[in-house]
Amino acid sequence: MHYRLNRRFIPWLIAHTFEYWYYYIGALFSLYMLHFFSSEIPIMAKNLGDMAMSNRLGEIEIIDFFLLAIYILIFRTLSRLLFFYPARIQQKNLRMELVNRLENSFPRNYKHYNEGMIFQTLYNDLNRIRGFVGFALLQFGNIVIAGTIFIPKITSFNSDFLLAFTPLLGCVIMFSILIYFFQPFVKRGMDEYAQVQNFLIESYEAKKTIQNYHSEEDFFNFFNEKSNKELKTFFISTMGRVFSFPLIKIGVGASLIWAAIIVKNDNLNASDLIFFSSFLFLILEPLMFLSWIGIVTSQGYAGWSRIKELTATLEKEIEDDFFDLSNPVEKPELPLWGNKIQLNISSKKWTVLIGETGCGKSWCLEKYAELLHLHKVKYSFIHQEPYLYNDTVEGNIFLGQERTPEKIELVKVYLQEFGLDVLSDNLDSLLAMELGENGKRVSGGQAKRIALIRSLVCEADYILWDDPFSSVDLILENQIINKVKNDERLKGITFVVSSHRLSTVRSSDYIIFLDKKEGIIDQGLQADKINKGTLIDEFFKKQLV
Amino acid sequence: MNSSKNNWSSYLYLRDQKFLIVLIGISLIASAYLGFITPGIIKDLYQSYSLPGDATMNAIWLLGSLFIAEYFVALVYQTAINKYVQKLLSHIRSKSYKEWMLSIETAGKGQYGDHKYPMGEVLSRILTDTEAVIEMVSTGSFKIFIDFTFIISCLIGFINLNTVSGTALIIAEVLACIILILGSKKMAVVYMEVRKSTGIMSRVIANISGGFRFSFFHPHDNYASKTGYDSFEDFLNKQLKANIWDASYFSLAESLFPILLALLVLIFPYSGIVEMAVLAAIVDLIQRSISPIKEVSGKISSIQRARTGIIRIEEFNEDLQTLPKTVFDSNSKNVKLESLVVKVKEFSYPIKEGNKPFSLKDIYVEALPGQLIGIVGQSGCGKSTLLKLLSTDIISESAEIQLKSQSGVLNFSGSNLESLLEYKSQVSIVSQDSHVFSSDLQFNITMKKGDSKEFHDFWDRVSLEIPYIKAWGISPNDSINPKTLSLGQKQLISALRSCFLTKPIVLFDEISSGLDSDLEEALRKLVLLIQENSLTFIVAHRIETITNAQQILVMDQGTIVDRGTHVDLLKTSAPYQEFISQLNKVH
Repeated sequence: MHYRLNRRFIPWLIAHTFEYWYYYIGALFSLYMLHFFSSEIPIMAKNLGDMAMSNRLGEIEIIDFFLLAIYILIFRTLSRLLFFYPARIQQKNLRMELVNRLENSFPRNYKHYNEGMIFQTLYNDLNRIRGFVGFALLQFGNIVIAGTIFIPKITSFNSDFLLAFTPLLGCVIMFSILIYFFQPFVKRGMDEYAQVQNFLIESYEAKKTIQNYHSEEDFFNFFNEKSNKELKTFFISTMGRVFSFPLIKIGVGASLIWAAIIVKNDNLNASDLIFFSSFLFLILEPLMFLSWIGIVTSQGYAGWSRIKELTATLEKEIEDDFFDLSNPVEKPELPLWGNKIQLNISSKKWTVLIGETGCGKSWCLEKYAELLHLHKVKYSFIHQEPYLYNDTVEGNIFLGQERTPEKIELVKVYLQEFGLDVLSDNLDSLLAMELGENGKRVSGGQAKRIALIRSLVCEADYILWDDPFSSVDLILENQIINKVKNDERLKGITFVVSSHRLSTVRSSDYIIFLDKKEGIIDQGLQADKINKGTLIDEFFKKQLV
Repeated sequence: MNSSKNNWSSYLYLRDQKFLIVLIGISLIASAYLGFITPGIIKDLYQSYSLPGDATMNAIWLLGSLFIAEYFVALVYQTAINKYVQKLLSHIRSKSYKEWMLSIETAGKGQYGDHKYPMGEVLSRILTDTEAVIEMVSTGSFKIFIDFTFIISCLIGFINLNTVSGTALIIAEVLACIILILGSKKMAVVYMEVRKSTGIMSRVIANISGGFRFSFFHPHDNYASKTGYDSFEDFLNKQLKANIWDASYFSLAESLFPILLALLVLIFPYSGIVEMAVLAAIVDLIQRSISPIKEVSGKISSIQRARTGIIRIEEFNEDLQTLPKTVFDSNSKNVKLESLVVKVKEFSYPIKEGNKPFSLKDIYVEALPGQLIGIVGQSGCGKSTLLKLLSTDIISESAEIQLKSQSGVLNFSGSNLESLLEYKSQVSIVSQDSHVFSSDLQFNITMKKGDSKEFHDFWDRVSLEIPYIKAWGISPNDSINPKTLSLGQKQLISALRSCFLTKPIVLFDEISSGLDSDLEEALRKLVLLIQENSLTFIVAHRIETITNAQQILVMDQGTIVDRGTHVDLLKTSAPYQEFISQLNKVH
């Protein structure tokens, strides 16, 4: 894959321009032609005045006006399209690259990024980049090319006239300063907007709870508070535009007045003022965008910085001293609360981690999963609360993997064994059932079981399950464990699970008892540890009280 | 859809902002006056060149004052408009939020237990769609109204100078505007497609953003990239298509200048213009008017965008109207419960493709205040469905609930909205779906902002009675990070919430695992505290929870097969005995 996101802003921009150089050459040519033809208009307007007064209007070729209109239409359209196209393509490519990188890098690298922040970068920041590449580059080229064509034409006519443009230029600069001055409010508004968005997301997730506890009114008030704060900042930020937009009119007016004085003092023709005012209007369009170039560029740059920040964290290698890769996979050394513990994983057997809530079972499993990843073995780790995609049951079980008919049959068997067939009257329609956002359409326990099946069919050698049966009743749990343990197809898999339940522990082969302070308190074969008066027995006895 | 088209504009009128509306009106009138006198002043300027003396300077002074007046009028106009938009957006957002928050989405036909609007939808309706209106302000689209007022009065002013060319120019420009506006209609369609595609893409991005950190630990074959690809590609195509329209459309507007000049040549023989000054005034007028006409395309399309945004919000609101609603009821009073009777003759889930027919049959439960009612049974026996009916997560006409209290008898069945609300306000629920907010603990329990003595008394009491809370070391002002909590801790928080609110009926869906002994004990104590004030139903996964229950309902295949106390059932009920023995076997 082409790593565009590794570059800094400017090198990336240069690389982008080179990647699509033929578009940009075409775009610049179109811009040149556009301004070349539009600069004919003031001369024609002046001629029109002169000819009309001297009754020679018949000499004017009407067709020229229409040809001019057509040229403008063609070249303006072309210039826009050629500038926008690479920007759009670039946006898509960058987005694809970022998604790809996110899904292939260690989650702990970006653990301080929540879902909303990742969304912001993947969605909003990349849109800003597109805005910058498409819009800012176009308008920058527009101003430069318009300047190179217009200035010589005006000078060749009357060099004093060039001076008369200064009030307009001054107003445009003031305009830009004002816009720039109010920019922090725009930024603040965007932050507050993100807060409103977060509040909405939380309201969404909590809607049922809010309704259950009848807090609708309070939440309505919180929402208004946040939303109004944002809108107020928004209003302040618009004041920059309110003051600055009409400035342009003042600038145009002042320039016109200045030129009128020049005409008077130099004893020029009145029709020369027509020539000047036509140029004034032509030059206005590119100039108006001057300030936006700055804004869009700074937004694009800020977006790029945020993207870079994210990709930089994704790049981070897992520190080497964190894991000792020289140990065999079955004897991993893992960090736990500042200590190092060495687990003893029984190959092709069930190992269960137990301990009080918060002792680090989930942490150990995740570290072990990271280690397995570094060892490049095939494994599957299912979290305590796994994530289901807004996709079908089948899509969620296979994820991106190939769906062979045999595998699909296998999935059907597991769906039955895991008690998921109650969701639908036949297995084919169950496979096609849509699960909704984060598996909303099934219960937490069902979602979890779907995820467990996911790991059974992915041909992993190691399966790590974090508290797999937390939402399953004991009877079904028993049934599932029996089926999985007696399944010939799964005999070669090493299972490592964590659990609170004696039932799960009873079905395992090896037990590891973890403690926050002391690391591993006790471990051994299940047969040696249960009902033998061990610490592990004591732990479960306490639980049964 | 049709009704929306007719009254979307009524969404834009705010009755309590008359002052701003008047201000906007006045500035428009002022602008019209300034426009009317402009052509005359321009003509005077050109004429003055052939006149001796101070005529030129006088005309220039007049012109200068005109420009300055124009500036201030524009200033007042824009400020008033922006303020109005601020108020308007606040109104629209808050209205949509309210409608959505109050709507009970679970009642959608065939979509039980499901949100009718996915998150992306709610976000884009309440926020993104209003953004189009914000965009109108930030791109200065409202300027078009004052600019047009000015230009039209300029044209009228010019007719005074030369009727023929003035009229011809008006006709030509109106024609141009009509063509551009017609084009902008097509543009609106194209923009709508982009907008839809954007919505889909944002939904897909939200979907995959949540999964990255989970799928990493599993062979995923770049599932997220594959899923994202289609929507990115579609978005790209829609955008490129829109660009073609966009670019050619604006360019068409740009090419107006030479065409209008050609028009001037064509009508010259009929216009009878003899003075250079009049000719200059009309060229000046063409230049002046081109900018607003050029913008009419851009601005109208941005108005179109805003309009489609508003229409979508309005459709959203209208659609919400079809759903049952709760009400703001911070003042609702808990009734003094005397008895509760639940009757379900037969309830089946609406048949939906892929649904296995399942029904609850012949359910009859009678309960008294202060009782603890346990519900047990194997997976799929219907206990959660029963709980969902009780919690109005599912609303069905075949489920009848009779709530007797000192203030009378409430008969609730799914067909009656009013009784639904009345019933709902008497129930609270503790389940795995109960949301824990990333706010402080106190807010999580009271779901209100601010302190109250009531809460402190409550807190003192539960800390005393439940040692786990002390051991946990959490205090009311600590902020909660739901991601770091275990399932059990989340359940404890939502149970505390239910305990604090003391609703007459509490429904408790016990989690079956993920609890260590201290937490389990804490939850059991809390059930006892809840039971002091409320009739408590509990779907139990542990025998310990229900050994003291006044009534245990043993369910199988959608019906209650046995009922009684733990001691009775142990003696008499075979299904219960089987259930217990299976629990023991696995313990």
